[in-house]
Parts: sequence; structure tokens; C-alpha cells
Amino acid sequence: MPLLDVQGLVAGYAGARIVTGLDLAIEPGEVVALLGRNGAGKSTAVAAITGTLPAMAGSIAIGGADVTKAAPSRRFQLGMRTVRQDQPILRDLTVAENLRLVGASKEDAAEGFPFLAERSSQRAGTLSGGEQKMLAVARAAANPGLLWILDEPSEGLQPKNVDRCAQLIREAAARGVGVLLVEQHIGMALNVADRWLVMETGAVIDHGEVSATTHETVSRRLAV
Amino acid sequence: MDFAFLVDQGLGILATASVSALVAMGLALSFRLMGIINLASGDFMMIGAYSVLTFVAIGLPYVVGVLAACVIGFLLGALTERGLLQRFSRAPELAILGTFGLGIVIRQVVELIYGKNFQFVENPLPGSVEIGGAEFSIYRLVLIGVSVVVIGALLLVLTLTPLGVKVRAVAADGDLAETLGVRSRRLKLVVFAVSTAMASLAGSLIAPLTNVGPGMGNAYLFVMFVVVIVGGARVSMVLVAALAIAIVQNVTTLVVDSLVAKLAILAMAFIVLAASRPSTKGAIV
Amino acid sequence: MIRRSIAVLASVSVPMVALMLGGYQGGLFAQFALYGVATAALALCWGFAGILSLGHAVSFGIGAYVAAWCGINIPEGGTILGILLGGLAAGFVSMLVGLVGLRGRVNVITFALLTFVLLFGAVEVVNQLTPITGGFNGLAGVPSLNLGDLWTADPVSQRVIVTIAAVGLLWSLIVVARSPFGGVLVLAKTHAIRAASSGYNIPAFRIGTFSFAGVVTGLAGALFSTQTQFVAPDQISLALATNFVLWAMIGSRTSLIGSFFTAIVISFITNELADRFLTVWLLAMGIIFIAVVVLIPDGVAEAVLKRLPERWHPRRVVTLTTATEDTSGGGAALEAKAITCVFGKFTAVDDVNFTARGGVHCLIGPNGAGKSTLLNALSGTVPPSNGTWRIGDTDLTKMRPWHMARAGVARKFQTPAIAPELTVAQNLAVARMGVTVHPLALIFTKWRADLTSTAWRILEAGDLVRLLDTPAFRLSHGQRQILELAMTFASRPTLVLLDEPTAGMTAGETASVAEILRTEASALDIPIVVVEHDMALIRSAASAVTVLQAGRVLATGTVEEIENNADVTRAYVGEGH
Repeated sequence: MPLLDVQGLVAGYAGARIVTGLDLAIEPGEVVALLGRNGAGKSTAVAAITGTLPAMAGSIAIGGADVTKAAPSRRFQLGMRTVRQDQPILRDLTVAENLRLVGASKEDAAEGFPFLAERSSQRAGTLSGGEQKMLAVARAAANPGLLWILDEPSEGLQPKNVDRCAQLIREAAARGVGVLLVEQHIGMALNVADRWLVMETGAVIDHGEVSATTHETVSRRLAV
Repeated sequence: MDFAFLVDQGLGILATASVSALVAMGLALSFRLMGIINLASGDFMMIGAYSVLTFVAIGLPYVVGVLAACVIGFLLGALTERGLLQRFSRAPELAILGTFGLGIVIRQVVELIYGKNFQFVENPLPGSVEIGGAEFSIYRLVLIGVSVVVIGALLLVLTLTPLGVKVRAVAADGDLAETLGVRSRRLKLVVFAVSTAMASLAGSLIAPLTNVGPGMGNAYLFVMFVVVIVGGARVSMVLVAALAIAIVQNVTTLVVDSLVAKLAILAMAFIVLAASRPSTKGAIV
Repeated sequence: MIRRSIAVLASVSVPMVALMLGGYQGGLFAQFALYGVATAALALCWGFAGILSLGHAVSFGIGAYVAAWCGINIPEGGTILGILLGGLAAGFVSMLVGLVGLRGRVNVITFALLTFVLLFGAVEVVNQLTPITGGFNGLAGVPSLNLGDLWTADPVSQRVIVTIAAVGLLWSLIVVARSPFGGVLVLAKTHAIRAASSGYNIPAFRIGTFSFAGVVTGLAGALFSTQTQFVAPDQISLALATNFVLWAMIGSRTSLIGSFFTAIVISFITNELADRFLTVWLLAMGIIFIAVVVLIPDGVAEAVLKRLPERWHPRRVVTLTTATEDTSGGGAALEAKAITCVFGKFTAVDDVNFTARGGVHCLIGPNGAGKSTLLNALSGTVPPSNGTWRIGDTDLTKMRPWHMARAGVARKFQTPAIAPELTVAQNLAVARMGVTVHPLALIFTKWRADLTSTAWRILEAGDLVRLLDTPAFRLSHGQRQILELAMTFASRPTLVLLDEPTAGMTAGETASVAEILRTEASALDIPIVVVEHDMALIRSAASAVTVLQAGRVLATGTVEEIENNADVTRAYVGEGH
């Protein structure tokens, strides 16, 4: 049974269907890169899968349990961990409180990114954009659940930390976590992914296993 | 000015402050969490007063009336949140207008049932005690005591339990807190219901001291809202503001008259807003 | 043309109705038209500027009481004087409230609460200041419109003059709302900092709008007292304030005409029903209030417009042209000295000195190095704790963001900041006008703007030229990025500050943008300072790179120098690259 099973997902905003029929499944231990041009519907798909945007049609299941209409907090209980694109952490809480909220300690998080331990009593909003992303990824790694949905985790990170982030994803996958990775940074995505999907106008138009020639195939796909 | 006079005035100020703090603390909590102000707060106070009136009238003890006021306030608040406010999580000004309409409905329904005339609740503890040479009503002392206990208990819950962090998380970003496992809808429901229960409790406590009528809430709204303007959404600041405003109100009423007292409080709201650097977020307590 | 004819027809028909209705009904119509004006003024503040006043009756009541008092106590021309003073007094009080509540960041709810408590205070004053206001009884015997002994209006001309005045006041509100001034208010409602960085002093816009609405409402209240020849605490009551909000909401706060007519229609219905079923009527009002909030929160006018085909109510078409090229004015360098930003104990930017000459100057550095903070400091949105900076001979140090924009500093934010309710072209026009048009002149300016060729090239690169008349809420994230970048270049800048301009853009769009930035920077000879992570963009566009680390400058040089700098490699790229 797949960890995440999305079938015929339709989502969008009043009057505009942005995701027009998305099918995707993620097995335990698998990293799937969701790629696509700007406006292809990736972020909307993520919002629907994580539950912040209601699905208009289709179904979403986590580990076999239907969550199409479930609140995001229910999906969290079922093991979903989310890193969203904009402001992925609670700015008004301290770093430690951000972690405590998901039942993680600063020591756990410091294994991901050591700087978090010394900054733990700082208000998270005073971290820079990239540091906030790292906190969010470390938060997922500290209490990994079963399934990660990561929207542009490497955006705003310097190359060294992009690598660390990729490493954390691979470690989680090695322990059986399924990962959906939405990325603009194709290099990073294909570095860690087992499979890739390309979205265009709200649906998957191409997919495959990651291999040596993938980078070229995908780049061509995206450059249309 | 002798000592007895000071004690008398001091306790009077405390009594005024504790009632407005009860309501304003609930207002501040829901303001923080949901970004809205319940414009029907005065009417929830009125509901509390009428519950006491009703329960005492059928011969039940006064305490039962006060407890019933809390329960009714809580349930009505929960109903309001679920039925009305939840759909406006992104449009706070519509939500407050919804509570405004609700206030009108509550007032008119109570008027249809109980009539327009003032009614009175007998003071359950009519005696007085001597404190520092001043005679002070036992009932007012109990009122201060109950308010302090309720406010203190709430502060403890907010600082010592995970609930405090959750409240702040939802206040900062409800969507994000949801994806981190906080059941923000239920949390908002509970906090709003607690705030209306506190308003209703305050109303039930002041019932023996005032005229009970459908429009009684409006008389209190003014002070409550100034307290929230002065104190902002931070609970501790709201408590300070409630005390400061009670001092200004009582002293000015004593020295000049009630109109000037009202204008002085209004001036306080303007001065505080004019002097404050606009910052919105911070610690809760 | 058709629009204009309908507007003229409607304007003429309102006084005609007042004339045709009988004495009693016609008089009521004149009164209700004044309520309509006050409601429309509230709608301007609420629907356009995003400021909700729960104490709008204060302005109306001040106008009514001042005019009544003057009319009664000043026999010669007191009525006319009273009307003028009434408008001014209401405007003055609104301005005071605005000065207190509308500086800086505005919380709609706090401001609503402030106006609400003000209303409570005003009600107390009116009821208790009996010698002047007549207390509960009000002031009776207010004369109708007159010029002393020369002329006194008979009831018919009285109500016709009042309705004509009402239509005139309504038009003054509509002119403001539909002008580029209204466009600025709408932009500021969603992105105040963007509006400020486009050259607008937003607190002044808001306070000005609120005061203007106060004057119009005060005039309406003043005319009201001459029409009813009586003024009572009703005119400054909680009930009236509630009604204004209710009418504006039912009519649509984004439609001044809708608010105006809704106020009239509901007032007539209330007048018919209220006396007969008082208690039930108030209950019904409460229920209607809740029902409107729940069912048609945007109001009737918006609900109707949404269902009408678009050709019945076309979007405002903006004339956009290309500015004549003017290559003078370039050549100035940005010189920043000792910029320091301290937040509490944390020093985000520590004594940074750097100079950016004509060309694309990239700011790079590890996360948390202080790049965005530096950009915020230089653009005045978060002033630094210390330091000075200048562009050419212009000292920018003490300038506020709008002042800086008018000095030629253009800024793009990290997340796209645009006005979703305006069309793409309106967004561009608002961004363009901020630099050249005087704020008050915006009210009388046509929706017409000349964009730089740079802005057009950006729009073409993002394929937005065909979407100029599309409301911006229909744009995708990437299209919004392109739009805001074009807005940044709408006027000729002397200095451009961009925070991750290509975040969320595709590789193709990034390449086009990089090319445009590179050629424009050298053609115009202006510094374009870019915070960027994308090495591809840096390599193709940057003429200089400054590396920040932990708030300090680590190195400055050409791309090649930086890529070969051992310190930078260690700090930024890390091992293995």
C-alpha cells in the first residue's frame, strides 16, 4: 500500500482550477521529485495534499486512510510532515518552541543543523530566510513521521546547506520515510530523488525513474 | 483624606478593575488568537446577569446561577464561533460585524422574553466587614476574590501548559500551526467560548450591584474596549490597563463627574495609541 | 460614452425624484439621500482604503449639531456658515482620529474599536452637555436654507437643493475612488510597503481620505439638520452608526453608488415598518445583519456585477504609452558607509561599506549574512541603526521610503507585492505615477501613464502585454513576480534594489530577466543592486559582486575574482564545490 496515494486531484481557487487531475503515489522509502514550470500547479497541489486548500475533486489517502476532507492536523497525526514554501516556521515563537510544538527537542534538531542549538532561545522570526528553511527541515527530521511534503526546501540556501538538506532527505528515506519534493533546483532534486514527475497545466505530463540521462530529459521538458 | 477613605476607594477601584479585567482578558485572548473583538461582549454579560436572575427567581441558590451563567456563556460562545465566526477566519472585520448583529439579536430576544423594564437581583451577601477602618461590602470582596482566582488560573494554564505555546502558534499563523498538528479550529472554539463564559461570569457577578435590563451591556462596553485598546492583545498588559483605567475612572468620577471620567478614559485610549509605536506581535503574558 | 450618459441621467433623476414625490415623501427622500452620502463616504474609507469606522455617526452628528447651533444662534447667514463649519468640524475630528489611529501599520480591528469608543464618548457629550446640545430633547427650530433676509428656501426648493447637493457630494466621493488616488488606496490596502516604495506617503493618504470622508459626512449631516429643521441625539447615536455600516455592507462597500442607493431604499422600508413593529423590527435588523455578513459579505452591487457579463461593466482601460527615452541622469554611484543594523542583541549588519557603480551589483553570502536586511536598510523600509548612504550627490540617509522613491530609488520585494483588485495596467500606472504626480493631483489625473522601455521589455519577457486589462488576482505567482519587476522599472530609476527578483521564475524567464537587467544597467549607467542565489544569473549579469558573511563584507570584486577567492569558497560554497 503506498504511503501517499493521490488520485484525480482537482484543486484551485474560486473560478480557477489550477490542478486539473493529479495522480501520484509514494511508496515507503521513496523520494519523488515533483518538477514543473512556474504556474504549472505544483504549489497548489502541495496545498491540497497538505490540507490547507480543500480539494475540489479526487481523493488523497495517507497509508490507506482517506484524508481528502481531513484537517491538516489530522494528516500530521497520520505522519505527514510539511515544509511549506513561504514562511515555513512560526516567526513569533522561539526556535525551541517551534520544535517543542511538534514534540521535538533542540538536541534532535541540532543533529540536522548544529547552529539551531545555540540559537534555540532566539525568536524564529529573527532568523534569516534561509535559516528559517533549515529550521523547518530540521523540525521534520527531528520528528520524521512517515511522509514528508517539502515545497522548495532548498530555496534561499547556500550550496553547502543545500547538500546538508539533501543528506537529511536521503537519511529519512533510508529509514522508510516517503518524500514528495517540489523543487525549482533541478540539480538538487534529481540528486536525491528516485523518481521524477513533471507537471504542466495542472497535471502530470511525464514521469520516470531517475537515471544518468534524466537531467537532460527533464531540462528539455521544462524548457518548452 | 484618612486611611479608611483610601481603603474604601482602593477596594472600589479593585472591584471595578476586576470586573473589566475578567471581560477584557477574554477579549484580548480572542483578539490575539482570531484577530477579532466580540462586539456582543456586553450582551454576553447581560446574559450572565439574566441567568442569575432566572435561577434565583425559581428558588435556586445564587451560586448555581453564577455557574449556570458560565455554562450558558460557554455554550453560546461555542455556538457563535462554530456557526458564525469560523467562516470568517480571513475577514476579521466581517466577523466583528457578525458579532455586532448577534448582539442586537440577543438584546431583542431577551427583551421579548423578559420585557424592557429593569429588574433587580437581591444581594446574596448583604453584610459588610471593616477593613482598616472602612466598611466594605462582603459581596464586593467576594467579587474581587472570584475574579482574581479565575484570572490567575487562566494565566497559570497559559504559562505552564503546552496550551500557551499552542495558543501563540495559532495566533501567529493558524494554517501553519495546523500542519504542525495543532487542532487550531478546536482551539479557537474553546478560547472564544472561554472568553464569552468570562463575560457571562462577570455579568452574573455584577447582577446584584446594578439594574438588570436588556441594554445593560452597553454601559460596560465602553470601558472594556478602552481597556483592550490600551492593553492591546497581550494579556498581562490588559490586566495593567484594566487597573489603570479603573483608577482614572473612579478618581475622576469622585473629583469631577462621570462625564469627565468617561472623556478622561477616552483621552487615555487616544494618548496610548498616539504614543505607542505600532507593533502587533509579542509575548502573550 | 454610454457610461457617462447613464451617470448624468442618474445624477439628474435623483433631484427629479425629490421634486416629483409629494411634500412628505419628497422631504424624506432628501433626508435619506444625505444618509446615502454618509454611507458612500464610509464605503470609500472601508472598501477602498480598508479603514472601517464603527463611529461614522460622529461625523454626521457633528455636522448636524454645528449647523443647527449656528442656524439658530446666528440670524444672518448662520445656516450657510453652519453648514461649512459643520463640514470642517467633522473633518477636523476625523483628522485627529486619523492622526492617532492611522499612522504606521494599521490594524483594522483596533481602528474600528477606537472609532467605536469615540462614538460612546460623543453620545455622552451630546446627552449631557444640555446647555449647548439640548440634551435628550435636541435642538428644535433649525431654520431651513436661507441667506438672512434676502432669501429663505420654500420646502420644494429646499429639498431640491439638498438632493442636488447630495448628488454633488456623492460625485466628489466617486471621483476620488475612481481616480489613481483611489488606486493607491487599494494598493496600500494589500501592500502598504509596496505603495510606500512607489513614492506614496501612505499614512497621509489614509488620514487624508478619512478626513475627506469626515468633511463630506459632516456636510451631509449639516444639510440634514436644515432639511429636518431639528437635530436630536439620534443623529450621533449607536443606531445610526450601525445603520451606516449595515447599508454600506448590503450595498457593497466597494461600490459607492450601491451604498448610496441601498441607504435610501432601506431607510424608506425602515420608515414604513419600524413604527408598526418596533421590537420585531429591531430583531429583524439583527438577523438581517448576520444574514448579510454570512450570505452576501461583498454586498448586493458586487453580487450583481459578478453575474453580469463583463461587457456590461468593463474594467477600466488604462492608456499606457512608452516614455521618450532620456538617458541623462545616470552615472551616479551608490556609496554606503558604515551601515549597521542592530535588532536587540543581534547585529544583523555590522559596519558595511560598499560602493555600487553603473551595472548589476550582486549581493551574495551565506544564509543569515544580512543581505535582505542591508537591502531593507538602503531602501528605508527598516532604517539602519547607524550609517550613511548616498546616490551621487543625493543623501538618502534620513529619507522615508516614499521620499526615496521620488528621488529615483526603485525597490522590488522578495514576495510579489501588487494590488490584486486592480488590473495589470492599473498596477503599472500606480507604480509609475508615484514618482512624478503630486498626491493631490492624482485625484484629477487620468488613468494614463508612460512606462519606460525597460518595463515593456520585462512585460514582454513574461508575456504579460496581452494581459494588461486583466485583474491582477488572476495572475500566477510567477506572473506577479514579473509584474512587480515591471512596476519597479515603471519610471526611470537612478538606483534599483532587487531582493531575489527571479525567485519562483523558470529558467527561461530568469535568463531573460538577467539579460534585461544587464543591458539596462549598462545602457542607463545606473547601479542595480541584486540579492541573489542563482549563480547562473550572477555569472551572466553581474558586473560586480559583494559577498557578505555574518553581517560584514567578506570580499568585493568581479564574478571571476570572487569565484577564485579562497575565503569566499570556504564560507559560501563549502567543501566539494
